Amino acid sequence: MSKQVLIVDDSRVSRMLVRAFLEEKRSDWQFSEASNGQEAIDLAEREPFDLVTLDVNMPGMSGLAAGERILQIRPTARVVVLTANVQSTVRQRAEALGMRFLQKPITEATVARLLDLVGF
Amino acid sequence: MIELLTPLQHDALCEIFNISVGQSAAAMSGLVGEEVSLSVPAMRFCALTELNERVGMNHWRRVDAVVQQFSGTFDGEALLMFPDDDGVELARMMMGSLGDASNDFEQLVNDALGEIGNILLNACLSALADLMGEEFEYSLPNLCSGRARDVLEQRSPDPQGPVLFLHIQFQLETQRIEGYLAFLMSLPSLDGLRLGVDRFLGHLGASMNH
Repeated sequence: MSKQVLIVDDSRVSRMLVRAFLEEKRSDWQFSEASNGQEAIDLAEREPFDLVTLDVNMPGMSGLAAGERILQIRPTARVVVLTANVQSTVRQRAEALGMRFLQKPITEATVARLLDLVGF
Repeated sequence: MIELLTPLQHDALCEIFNISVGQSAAAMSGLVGEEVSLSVPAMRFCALTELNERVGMNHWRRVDAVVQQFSGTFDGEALLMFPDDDGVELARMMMGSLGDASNDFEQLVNDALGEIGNILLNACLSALADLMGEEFEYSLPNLCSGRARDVLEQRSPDPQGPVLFLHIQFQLETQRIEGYLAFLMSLPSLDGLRLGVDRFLGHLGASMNH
């Protein structure tokens, strides 16, 4: 079944990589992109996303704060933090907020793990 | 160096750095799909202006550097430096999986280099934070290009002042791509750094007593 996915990262290359690897495995999914947390929240208010991938260190709002808000707006969405900032404290905070956590780099294997994690 | 760190602290700091850069190497290996080898970490305490010659950067025509400031109980700058065209080659490898979209390479190369820096520097800083019981805040990655000496001197308000420079060289097995990962710390940060090293040594002591 088709899913709506929101990819949030300030790096355009990273958004392109996540999208390319996901599209390869799930060609019928719909994709949207945001380059910062506020833009992601605004999109989540309009669209019922099933899956949101989030970078942490972005200009303005942190990905964790954006993820927390998105989960309030869309409680059934799966939110996966996909970041290079793999400090234990960041991982623990993400998990405490109900998000999954994956370490960059974005590779085919990372995206396969992401799909396993969310069970889609 | 002796007056700044005891031999045990010096040794511990090199080991912490070694383990932390190991995380960066693992991240890079995942990015390019091949083995990455690391040199023995080296530590220097000197003026920024002397580094160029001491580290051999004067052999490079130019450098692409990704810089991230970090702050916690001690502050500093983490730099990932690629000599000559090595950074651009690495960006090309990273974008290889994008197929046709990578036709946009000229527009995306700076973004890709910034993201490579973000991934490698964060892998290293995250390991460093965990080993020292720290939590760092990071700036966003900033890309600087030019002569190595100019790039380094831009990073300091006082290029003649002493800095602690920890660096390690890494190299891809088949592609002849090399880079340097370096930390720059000013003197006021050394007290915090020593505390972090002592916490690491304290954990070691605790685990050896069990």
